[in-house]
Amino acid sequence: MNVIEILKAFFKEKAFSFYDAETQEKEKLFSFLLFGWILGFPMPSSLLSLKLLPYADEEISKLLLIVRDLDDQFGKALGQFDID
Amino acid sequence: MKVFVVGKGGTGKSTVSVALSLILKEKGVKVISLDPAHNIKDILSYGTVQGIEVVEPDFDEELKKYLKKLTDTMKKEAFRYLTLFNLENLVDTLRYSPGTEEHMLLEAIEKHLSDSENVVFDTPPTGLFLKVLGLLDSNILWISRLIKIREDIVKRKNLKDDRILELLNVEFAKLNSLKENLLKNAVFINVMNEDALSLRESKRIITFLRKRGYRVILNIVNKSSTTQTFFENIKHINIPPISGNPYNIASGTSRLLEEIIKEVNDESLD
Repeated sequence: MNVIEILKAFFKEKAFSFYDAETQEKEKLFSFLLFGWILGFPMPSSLLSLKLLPYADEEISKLLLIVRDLDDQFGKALGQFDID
Repeated sequence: MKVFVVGKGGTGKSTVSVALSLILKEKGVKVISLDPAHNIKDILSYGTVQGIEVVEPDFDEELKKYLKKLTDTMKKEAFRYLTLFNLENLVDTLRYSPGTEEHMLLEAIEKHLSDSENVVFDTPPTGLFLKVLGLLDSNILWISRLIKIREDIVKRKNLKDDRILELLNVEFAKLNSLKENLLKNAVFINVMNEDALSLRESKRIITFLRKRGYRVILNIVNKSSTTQTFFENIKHINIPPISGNPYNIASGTSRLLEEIIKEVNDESLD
């Protein structure tokens, strides 16, 4: 395997990792828009969010991850770029 | 005929609603009171009229039922993190969430607008009613944005089925169909008095409705002592003060309205 192929594989893996991270953030944003009131944000719950609530266990779990990660946003960003 | 009687509080919307139902009762009519302070049945209790179905929803009770159903569904759907919340308390808090009342009114409109018979909606005071109609537009926009985000997520994750996206699409279709139904089948009648405040509010209502494409077919100047016209491009009728009990007033109003209602109804069907 030559150097170029190794680099290609490396950047491909990185690209996938960024894509996944971006998707996860989108999911959190979506959950937040609908269910932010569960975390105590001053936004009214709409009947729409109530209708979706019974089917949104995964979304709400993700929403709770926001709270968990809030303590270390800087660390999370550094981790994304493999900086220890 | 699906007619919404709108106007400032105290101008005689409920009386006009009963009057309209008296005119339309031969072909079957339902009067829906969207005003939480119901008084349609009170007016009709002074008379002995038959053939009018009155619906005065108890919005608190409807909401309780709705939230109970929601809690049951959540339990059935095996909410994995149910233990994290005291669900009953959470749902109880939702009852007081801003906008809930407007949503319940919108649900009531949707429920009765698709009835096959004549329906007269006695609306709540202007501020609340315009918020309800505004909510319909903003909800359509809000859900369309949510669908876009969700579609992107589904595409990125390469999911075949997504229950949330499915439900969003169902809700979007439902609201769009309600809007279409309102634009196509519903007509609005404004009731005003001759005072300056009533006139100002009527201008606001009519502008709001027309801007959104709704059909305002008649302006009723109630308890009027003149023949003054207030809006150039809307059919109008002046109803003089009528004495007697609430039913007599509604009945007298219906006799004066009969001809013009048939006229505007025929025109609205064209």
